[in-house]
Amino acid sequence: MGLLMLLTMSSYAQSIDSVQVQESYPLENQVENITENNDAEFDASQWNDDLEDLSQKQVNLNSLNENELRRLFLINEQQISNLLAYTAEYGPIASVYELQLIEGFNQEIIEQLIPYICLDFQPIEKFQWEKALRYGHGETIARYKRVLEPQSGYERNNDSIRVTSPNNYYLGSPDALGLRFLYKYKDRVQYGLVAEKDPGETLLPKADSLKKGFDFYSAHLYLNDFGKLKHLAIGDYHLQFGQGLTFWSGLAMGKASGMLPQRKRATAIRPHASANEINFLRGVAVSTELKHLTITAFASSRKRDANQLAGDTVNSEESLFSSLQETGYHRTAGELADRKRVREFIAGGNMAFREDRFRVGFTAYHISYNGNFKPSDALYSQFQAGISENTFAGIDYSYSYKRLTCYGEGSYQLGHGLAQVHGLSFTADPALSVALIFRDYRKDYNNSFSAAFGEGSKNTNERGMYAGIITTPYRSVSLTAYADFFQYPWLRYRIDAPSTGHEYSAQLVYMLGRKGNTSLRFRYSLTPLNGSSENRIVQPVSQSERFYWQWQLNWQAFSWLKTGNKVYLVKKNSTEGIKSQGYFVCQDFQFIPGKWESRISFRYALFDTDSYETRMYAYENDIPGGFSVPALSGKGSRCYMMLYFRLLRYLQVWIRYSRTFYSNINYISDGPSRIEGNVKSEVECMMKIRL
Amino acid sequence: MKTAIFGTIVLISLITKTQAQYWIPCGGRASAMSNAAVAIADAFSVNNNQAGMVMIKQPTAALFFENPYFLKELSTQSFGINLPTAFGVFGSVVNYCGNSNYNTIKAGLAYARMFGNSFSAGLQLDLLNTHLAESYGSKISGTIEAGIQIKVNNKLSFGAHVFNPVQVHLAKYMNERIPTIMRVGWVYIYSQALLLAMEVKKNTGLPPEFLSGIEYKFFGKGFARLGVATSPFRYSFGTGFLFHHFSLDISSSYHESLGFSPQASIAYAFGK
Repeated sequence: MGLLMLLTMSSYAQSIDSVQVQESYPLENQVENITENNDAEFDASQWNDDLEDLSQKQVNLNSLNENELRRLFLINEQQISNLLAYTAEYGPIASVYELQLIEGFNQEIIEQLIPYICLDFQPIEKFQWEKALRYGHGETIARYKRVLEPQSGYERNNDSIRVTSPNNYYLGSPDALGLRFLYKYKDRVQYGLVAEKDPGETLLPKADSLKKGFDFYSAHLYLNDFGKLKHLAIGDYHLQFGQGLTFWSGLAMGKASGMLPQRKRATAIRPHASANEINFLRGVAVSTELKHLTITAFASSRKRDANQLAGDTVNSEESLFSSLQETGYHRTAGELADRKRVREFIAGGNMAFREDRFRVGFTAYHISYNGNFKPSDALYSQFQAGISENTFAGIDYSYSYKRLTCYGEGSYQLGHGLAQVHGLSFTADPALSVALIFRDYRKDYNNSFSAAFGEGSKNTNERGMYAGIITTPYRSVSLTAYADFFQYPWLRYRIDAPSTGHEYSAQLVYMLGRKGNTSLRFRYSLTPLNGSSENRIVQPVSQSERFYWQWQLNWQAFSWLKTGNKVYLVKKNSTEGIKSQGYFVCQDFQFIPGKWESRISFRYALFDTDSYETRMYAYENDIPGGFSVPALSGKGSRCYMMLYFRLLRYLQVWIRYSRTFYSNINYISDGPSRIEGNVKSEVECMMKIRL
Repeated sequence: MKTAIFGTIVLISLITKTQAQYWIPCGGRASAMSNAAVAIADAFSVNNNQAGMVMIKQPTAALFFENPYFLKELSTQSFGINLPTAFGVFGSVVNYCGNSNYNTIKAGLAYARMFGNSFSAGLQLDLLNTHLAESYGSKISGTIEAGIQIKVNNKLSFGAHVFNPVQVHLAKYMNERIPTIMRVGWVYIYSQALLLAMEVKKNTGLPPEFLSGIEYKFFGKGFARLGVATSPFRYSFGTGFLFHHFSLDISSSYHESLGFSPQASIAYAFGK
């Protein structure tokens, strides 16, 4: 019933669907998976944009627009064409339950889709600037976050200690602050401003040497679909082309249990409206559409953080840098010194031709820095070109024939290496789909803007083959499984020899009627890693095994209460025969009082891991736009509570409190974020005003 | 010569990690689906699971070749015949694996029949010959293998098979025995065009393996197949065609360290 309401009252739906998103399976798996693959210090905020985009702007199933439907990453090309054929024959879909009549849609798929879809059938109205500036809606978001326990980096010690080790102290306060203003008129006009300060960064000037105001600002203006002018972005923006091998900024879906990777659906130009400080472009991007041809041109210039090598600035004109800094943190004197040291220029373009089922695109761009980087002398990076100046060019294609889609992209780093990725998706039966992806990224291809399918976080030095299936043999049972095999033809960080590895995964979901579901997931991986034996000088590369089991139950007990349970188990047999394991058990509740628009989420969890190697990543409900996937290791408990309510018609409030208790240690973390004691708690709140 | 034999033995001991020597899965169709064939019925059921022979309606002869990792020293040939009669299906199969320095031969006589509408069982008597060059000589052993298949419903079938349950001695020295291989699995038939097969295989000398494969039929006469197997991890793929009385299947598997192993088989059905 709640779901029906969601579809009929679109304004109401707009506000709660972001909470719904967080309960959706595949997305949750993706988040856990990517966090795992990127290690603990991964900044999930870079996703805000993309996930919020999906949750805020529902896909209209009646739009008759193939591209609009493609934004729904949960359905495949076959389902899209069935849906279009259905709406063409029978007219717009009136109810979500009508979807069951369409081939390729079943109960489970529909329930996954519900948070993301709407069924509007309003006629397209003529665009008027006057209307656009008056009848759009503006929203202002303010967020605040803080760790409650004192951390050593914030201690107000005397100056002499600070002078001796300046990088052990944060200059600012432990509060994190964020502000965002956005104005949108449908999907035609959007402009916005973002300001942010991370914990430890200064907000207002303390001394003349420190910068003033927020640490990070971002602004954008975005126009969409104005006749020949397809998109225009001024300010901060994102670009995505082809299969993401040549150029893709922002979130890219990868391997995850419970879903099949498909052809990437590049969105060309999108505004950058999040506080992610690394992965975006700043400048102008414009695209125009001429019949079957879309041409995009872009230019970006922005200052990046870089670590300057000491002692070289005196004599030479040009400065020498060791590397780009990609944390976005400017909390200590050292981090501030690296801030905005080198200017990055990017210019390029894309041409995409599209006719019916066939599309081909050409992307090229040039990237340069106004400083020189010292080449790394590590053996594993010896084939990488210097990053000071590079040019990339690539061709992408895709072709769909009936239930088969082939796609791929090849890319070349001028004067260096090649990279290619090719995929195939095939819906062999309404109840079974197959996906295959082959990739070959050469060791001398190094593109910091590539985000194509792969095992490693960068598309370099990797060859591999992925095969996956998703099948629903019975209405209430769905099975997803994949295998992935990869080779690293050259050395990698902590792998001192060419190596191979593989991974397989299976997930079985059983629908318990309309009220809930239960699932069992298994994942196994065998990955290469240097040994760590003490009595050897040269460490041979050996393989470490990791087993992962997960059981979940989600149950709508009453209209006002949802419960959830998860049990995770990880076992790792590492290179030297050291075995370790970890457990995680949790109970979730979500109360939805019917009277007011509000909800309370609660989790209590226990974890017990032998080592950091078997740490647990458990996805948590968070304030929209914030993603919480803490890495839990050691022994202890974790709980959080989140309260959401709409105070007035235009004011929404989220408050979240989380607390981690460790039973086996007496201090948490090291360096400036060290906490004496065994409890770490955090408060977070957000206010959204919509006019 | 000594080094050749030594080399072969080293090679074989390496390969035994990946290849069962006495009972070898046969057929280009099975190979393309990573040998998840225990619940499948075709001309090579006489080797893969004798219970599947009951689905054969005409006398059939079938040939299979495999060249593991492109090493001719390991090449495998198999020849099987099936003879349906009023009292059940009789069959015979001969497998040869190896080279003149080291080889194994399996020769078997099989019989299978239906019990009721959905249950079939098969039994095979095997003679196994192990040959090592020079003074090592040959050794002949006898064993049995047996299997069942159950058609649970129109979509789901189940199969189980065991080879050499008695673990016959190969040599008294070191109590060396021929390993037992047990397999259970099922096949799910989505439609005329698509099936999914899965199997768990245990060889007493090796870790358990999980095998899976799908087969898709296109244009009524062609097949595309794909398989994934674990321990060791390998992919397989292949294609097959039907021409009148002939069926031709070619396939290859890919092992992460040892590379490709091409396979091919041809089967002919008499009469009609």
